[in-house]
Amino acid sequence: MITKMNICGRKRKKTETGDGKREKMQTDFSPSPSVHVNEDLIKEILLNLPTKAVLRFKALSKSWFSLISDSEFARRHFDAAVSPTHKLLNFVNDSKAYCVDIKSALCNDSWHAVSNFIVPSSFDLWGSGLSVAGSCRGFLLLQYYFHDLVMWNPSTGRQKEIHCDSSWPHDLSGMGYDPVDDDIVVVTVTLRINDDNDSKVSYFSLRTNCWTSVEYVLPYAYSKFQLELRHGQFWNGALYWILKSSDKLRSVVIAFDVREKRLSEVPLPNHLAILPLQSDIYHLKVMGEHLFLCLVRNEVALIEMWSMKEQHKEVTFWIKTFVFSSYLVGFMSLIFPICFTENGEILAFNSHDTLLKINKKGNLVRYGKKHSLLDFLSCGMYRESFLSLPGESGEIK
Amino acid sequence: MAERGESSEAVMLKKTEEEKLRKGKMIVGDESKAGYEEEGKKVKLVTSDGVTMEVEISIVKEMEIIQTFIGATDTDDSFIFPISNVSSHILNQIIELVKGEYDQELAKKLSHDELKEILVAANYLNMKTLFHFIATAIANVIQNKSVEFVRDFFGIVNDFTEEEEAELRKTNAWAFEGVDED
Repeated sequence: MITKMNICGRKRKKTETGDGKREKMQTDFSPSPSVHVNEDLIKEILLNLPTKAVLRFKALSKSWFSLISDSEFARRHFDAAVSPTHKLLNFVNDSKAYCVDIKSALCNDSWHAVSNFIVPSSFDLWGSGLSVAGSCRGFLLLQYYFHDLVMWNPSTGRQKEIHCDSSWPHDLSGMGYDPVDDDIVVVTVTLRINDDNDSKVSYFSLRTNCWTSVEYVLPYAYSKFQLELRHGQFWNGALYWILKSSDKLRSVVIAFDVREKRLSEVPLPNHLAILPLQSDIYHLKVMGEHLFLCLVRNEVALIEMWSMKEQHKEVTFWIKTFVFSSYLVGFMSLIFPICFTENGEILAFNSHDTLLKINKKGNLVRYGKKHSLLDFLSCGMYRESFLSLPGESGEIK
Repeated sequence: MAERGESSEAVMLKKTEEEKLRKGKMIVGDESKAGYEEEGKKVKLVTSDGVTMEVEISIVKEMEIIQTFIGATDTDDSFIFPISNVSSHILNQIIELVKGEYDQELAKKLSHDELKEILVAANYLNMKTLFHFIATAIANVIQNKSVEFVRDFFGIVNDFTEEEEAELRKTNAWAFEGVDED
C-alpha cells in the first residue's frame, strides 16, 4: 500500500491517534496480496460471461459449484442475456450430434461433436427419423417419427423423456414458454382422428408433468411441404403452424396460445391464403423479433419472405420483407432461412442441405461447402443456457 | 463524522479551505451557499490510507452512497466524507476510469488486484456504471481462461476431491475446450 501511495503522489504523514484506532485501517494496510471478492460480486461477474465459461467455472470450488447450480441464478443469467450464444445443432445417424456457433456456421471446421445425448431406449423401436421439433430456453425438443419426445439441453446434457399419451402419432408438434407459470409447454396436434374432422390437441406441462387433451373440430389438411411445416414456431406467446384448408385451396395459419392453452385460426389475408397453382407457402420461421412465412412463386422464380406485422380480430397484416430469386442458390432451389446473423444477413439452408448467407438485398453473400453432416430436418437452433427444466429443483449431478 | 473532519488537514488542501474546515467541520455556514457553481465544486474524500482528496462533484455524483448523504445534508465544500474501504490509489484509478468515459482499453492496463479492488470499491460506493464496467472487464479477463487461472485470480482454494473434479470436467467436457493458455 505504501508503494501505491508513492506512485500516486498522495503520500501523507498520518497522526497516530486518528487512524491507528480504527481496525479497518489495519486490514487495509496489511500486505495481503489478494482482495476478497464476495459471492454476491462473483455472481455479478458471472452474469457477464457466456454459458460455456460459467459451466467451466463450476469446477472451481464447491461454493462456485453451488452458486452456479442455483436455479434462480441460472434464470438471472439467462434473462440478463449479456453474451447469449446461439448454436445450430445437427444430428447424424440419430445419435451423434454436432453443433456450431451461428457466427461461424459456414466454416466446416467450427463444427464440434456434442456427446452428452443419450438415445432413449424407447427410440430404438422407431429406428431412424429423428427431428428437432422445437427450441426453447436452451432446450431442444426431439422426436422420432412423431412419437415419443425428448427434451434436451445440449449445453448441460440434461434430458427428459416425454411419453405421448396416445399410440396414434401426432401430426404437428412444438414447444413454447409460459412466463406467468414459468413453464415450458410441449404441444402436439393430431388432425382428423375421424371423418368428422375431429382433431386432438394435447399439451404437456413440464411444471406439472402431465398431459391434457382437448378435442377440436379442425377442418385442415397438410400442405404439400408437410415435413418442414409440422414443427411449430414459437412467437409472441403462441405456437404457429401453417396448414391447408380441408379442400386444400387455402393456406391456413393456426396458433396455440401457450399461456391460455387455446388453439385458434389466425386469418391470413386472401393474397397470401389463396395463391396461384405454381405458388405455395413452404416455410414458417421466427427470426429476430418477427414471424416470417416463406412463399415460392415458381411462375416468376421468386422466393418471398413476409413478416407478420399485426393481428386484429378478423385479419393479420403481413409485409413483404425480402425477395430472392429462386435461382440464387441453384436451379429452382428453395431457401429455408434459419436466423439473422450479427450483421443482419440471413443464414439459410438451400434444398440440398447446404448452408448459405444472403444479404438483405437478396444477394448471395457466402455459400458454405456441401456438408455431409447437415440435414435440414434434424437441425435445430438453440441458445446456450444452464437452466433446469420447470418443475425440476436444483441440479442433477 | 466530525472527528474525521478534524483529521483532514491534508497536504493537498488549499489553505483557505483548510481554514474553513477547521472552524466549520460539518456545520454549514450560510454565506458559503452564495454564488455556488455546481460544476467547479469539489468534494473532499478521505481514503482508507488517510489521504484527503478533492474530487470533482461530477465524479462524486456517481457515488450514490455519498450522493445520498450530500443530498440529505445541506453542505458546502467544508464537507468531508470518509471512504474507509477505498485506498487513495484505487480512488485515483476510479477517477481516471470515470474521466476516461469507461474505456475498456483503460481497464486492460489494470492489474488483477486493481480490478478486484475497484470492483469492491464500486460496490461499496454504489457506483453503478463503474461497477458494471469493471464486472465486464473482469469477465473479459477470465472468459476464456482455465479453471486454474480463475482460482488463482480470485484466490479460491479447490475443495473438490480429484475424482469430483474429474467428474465435473467430464460432464461439461465441451466447456473446457478451446481455453486460452494461462
